Amino acid sequence: MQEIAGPYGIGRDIHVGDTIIGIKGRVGFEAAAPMLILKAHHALEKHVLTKWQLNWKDQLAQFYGNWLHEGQILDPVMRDIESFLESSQRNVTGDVFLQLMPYRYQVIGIESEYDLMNSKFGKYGEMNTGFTGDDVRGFSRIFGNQTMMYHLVKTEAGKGEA
Amino acid sequence: MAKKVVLGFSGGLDTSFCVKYLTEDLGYEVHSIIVNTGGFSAEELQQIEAHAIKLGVKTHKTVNAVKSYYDSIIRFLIYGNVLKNNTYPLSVSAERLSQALHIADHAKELNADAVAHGSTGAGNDQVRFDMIFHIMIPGVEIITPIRDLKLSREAEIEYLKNKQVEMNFEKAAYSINKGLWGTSVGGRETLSSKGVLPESAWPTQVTKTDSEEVVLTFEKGELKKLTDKNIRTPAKPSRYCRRLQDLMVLAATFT
Repeated sequence: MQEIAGPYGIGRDIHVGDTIIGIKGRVGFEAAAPMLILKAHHALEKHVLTKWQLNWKDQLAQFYGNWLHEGQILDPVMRDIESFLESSQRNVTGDVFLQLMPYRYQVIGIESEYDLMNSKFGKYGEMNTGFTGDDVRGFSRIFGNQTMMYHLVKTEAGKGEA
Repeated sequence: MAKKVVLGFSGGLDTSFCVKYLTEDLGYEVHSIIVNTGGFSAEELQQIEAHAIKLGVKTHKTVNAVKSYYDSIIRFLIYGNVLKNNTYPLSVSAERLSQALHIADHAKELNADAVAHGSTGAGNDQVRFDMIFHIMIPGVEIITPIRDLKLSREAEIEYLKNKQVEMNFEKAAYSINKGLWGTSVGGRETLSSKGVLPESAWPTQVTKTDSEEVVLTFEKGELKKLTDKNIRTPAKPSRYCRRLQDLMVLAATFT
């Protein structure tokens, strides 16, 4: 991967970060293969994982990366997070298509039997299959129900003041 | 009987200094170890071994840690799409930990009295190595000649020249740390808040001018196959597949 992607000058950047000893440091790096692998992997995940799987992964991974950077690989919490991460990958199977060009790349798309984006369920902005407009009317009324109640109560309580 | 010290060795100026200093000034029996996490070619590893022996180590060990580095660290960085501050894939930080763990193992194996590393007092590596040694081999003395002696580059070079050590003392314009998961480049432009590295500073130069399509095949989050379809010659598509193991070997020999 490095041999293919490196000569395109992809994956070059300068990082400014916090060191373990408190000072901020700046370092250049080139990481063509890692960047493409990470971005391809994430593109696939965005298709096969649910909203909150993606969200919790991001939160835990951010902590994991920082703690690892600070040398704390032997902290048992890292093993706990690794279990979570490994579990999250059970459906992350498929092909990711990338186009490589000088200094940049493009994710063309993915193919996966676990793809949750499937025209069987509807095409965003185009048409709904599997649910009706009335379903969504009801959903929109209920989804904001508690927030609506909060604002009504707040307004009424405000009026009661002398 | 001389005390045994295990030294993390890279063959560079600092660790070469450490060998001489530990053996001749402090009277230790030095056992050097280099942990390859994809940054060295087979040829380079052989040269480093020869260099270590010439410097006067009692034994030298080369650990090929690429597979364990991938299995226990890189794999999870991929699962987590880990980029520190949305930017940095932890190229150097992850590698240091793998190296520290293997050095600690070796010190345990040899029942060493001490463990040494060439870290300076200025950066992150000193904390990583020290900490992992405190956890994995508690009680084993940690020696850090470069950090403790606060020597300048020039002083180290003079010391080694006085001991008839032959090596390349030329300082590279940019400090490069090459590894499986990326290569860091430090130099003049990165010491201040503004300024980018000149095109010539990048270890991998841009030589490709066309465009290429590649297909990455993942299984349960792991990259298992890479297919390269050169779209400029559709009549004779150049296709080759590599499993990640091969990619890692490739990356290790990539210069």
